Amino acid sequence: MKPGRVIGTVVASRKVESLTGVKLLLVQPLDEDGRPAGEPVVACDTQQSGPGQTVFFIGGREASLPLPDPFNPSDATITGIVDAVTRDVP
Amino acid sequence: MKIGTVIGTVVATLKHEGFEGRKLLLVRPEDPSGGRAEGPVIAVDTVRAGAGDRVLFLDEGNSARQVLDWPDGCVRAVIVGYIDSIDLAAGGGPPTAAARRSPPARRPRSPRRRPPSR
Amino acid sequence: MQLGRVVGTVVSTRKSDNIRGLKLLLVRQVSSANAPLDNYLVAVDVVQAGVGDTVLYAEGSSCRQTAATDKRPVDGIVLAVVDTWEVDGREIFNAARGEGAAA
Repeated sequence: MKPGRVIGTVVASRKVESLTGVKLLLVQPLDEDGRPAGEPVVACDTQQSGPGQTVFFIGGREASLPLPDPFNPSDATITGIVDAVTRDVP
Repeated sequence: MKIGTVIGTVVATLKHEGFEGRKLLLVRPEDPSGGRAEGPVIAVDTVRAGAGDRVLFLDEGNSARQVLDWPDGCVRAVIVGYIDSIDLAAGGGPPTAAARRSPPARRPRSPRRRPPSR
Repeated sequence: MQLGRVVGTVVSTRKSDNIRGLKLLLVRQVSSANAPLDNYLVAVDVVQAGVGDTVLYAEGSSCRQTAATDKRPVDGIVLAVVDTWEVDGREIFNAARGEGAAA
């Protein structure tokens, strides 16, 4: 999984049936210091996350698994909301 | 499997129920010489690793689900071992930035040796 | 998933039997600010998208997780047609208002 920050929402009424009712969010991946790193991705939400929150998301084939209908083509899904990251190593 | 250093702990109250009771660590993937390889990964700990530990981790779903005994787990990254040391043959590591700029390549830095953490 | 714009259709008469019957689109990635990026891919369409549509696409083995692409050699799929998106509370794109591009 990778850390990211929710920066926006995406609305798409015409989409594959297996993603009906699934919220789509724009997530900015973060580096280890919490700074933006790379191009944002669109991720399915499973945690009622919202803009501004730091989350972790899973990419690849496993992204399908936490959604209500697991036979779906998602390649990025938010699986948790980060309360805090304790950095112990510089 | 990949090599990395544990650089922190991730606390998440709201998460997929399958992560309940599992410790999540922030891992910095590294190349064999200790250089940063890619962006940070949040991995499930199975070996009671801690900050500063150099670890071996998986980043592939099938293996991760087997290790965690979580058949439909939405998980890829799992820490499966500590690294005590890496013995790198001369020329076996990736070239250093300086060597990439000016061939002929220098010998790579010798690997950092860490005492076993516990 | 990534945001993209359909910039063309791909016709291939000689192709693997396994992908016969699938509609192929040429998609160009756009950034979250709605700027076109230099990243193109050929993706299977399962939502009747057309040229000019702004879409959401996925890559990798996840793409085989639809009835149309199940067990087929597919690594890119257009899975949604985007109506709108916003970043930091500001609408960046709105299909109903044309090209949007409020940026």
